[in-house]
Amino acid sequence: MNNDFNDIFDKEQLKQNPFKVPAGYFDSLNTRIMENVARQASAQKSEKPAQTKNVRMHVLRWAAACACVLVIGVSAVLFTFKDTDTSEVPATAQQSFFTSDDAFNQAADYTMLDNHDMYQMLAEE
Amino acid sequence: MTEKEVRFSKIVNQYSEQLYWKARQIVIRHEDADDVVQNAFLKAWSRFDDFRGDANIYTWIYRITVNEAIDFLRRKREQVSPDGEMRIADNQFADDYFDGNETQKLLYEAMETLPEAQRATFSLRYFDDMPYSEISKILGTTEGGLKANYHLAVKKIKDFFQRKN
Repeated sequence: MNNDFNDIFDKEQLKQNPFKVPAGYFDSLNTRIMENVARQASAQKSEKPAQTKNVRMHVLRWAAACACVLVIGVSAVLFTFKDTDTSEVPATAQQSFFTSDDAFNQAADYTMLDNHDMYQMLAEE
Repeated sequence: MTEKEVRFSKIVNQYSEQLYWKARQIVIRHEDADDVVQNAFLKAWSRFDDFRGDANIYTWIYRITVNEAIDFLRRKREQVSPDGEMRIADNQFADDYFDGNETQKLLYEAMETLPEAQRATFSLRYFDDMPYSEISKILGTTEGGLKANYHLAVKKIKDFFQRKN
């Protein structure tokens, strides 16, 4: 039996294609594939603006978070210097204080900007 | 049609029939092969920008098609049998578009009992005489594993024939 089977198994006839397809199948196959491709391509195009918006929102969220951290940090520095007698502070420290003040104003600007953007984002959502 | 779509369309026209027959040999049923070839070309389209021009486009799409056929069979098995066990197909072989003899019918019935990757390995090796090194590139498996898989597939098919006779 095993030898008989090996004979059958090794015959080229067994390897021949026994399948058929519906009439005209290959005529329509390429068209259907390209229709699906076009559908996917247009879907990808319509997804792109949404992706851009998501990236922008992501960046804005990070910018807002950084601005908050900056404000807290500057506030902490200001609070520390408030309790210190400025007359005893060396000139370099006063310079540092003014720099911090500038940074505070800058941070406040950032915060206002981000809040505005965030309100706008919330309104868009 | 964009320039990219025109280029892709030429590839579809050139290779869709060959790839359909390869998919058909693995998944066996016409409707399944049709799904596989459609999905394969959609995948190829979505990765078309990443395709390197120096590689062989047919080899690239052929690989996508064979792996899509394996994934298709896996998904189908999970739908039919959620516990992951292979469906034993020795009850019937029904395909309206089959025109082979009784021995061929038995062979494809036996192939239906093989696990997906083993079926693909058997198909590539037995029907196409493909070297193990090539199959290894397509399926991403070691040559040793493929040889073991192929011999196991042959043994299962022979056992199936013996049971049927």
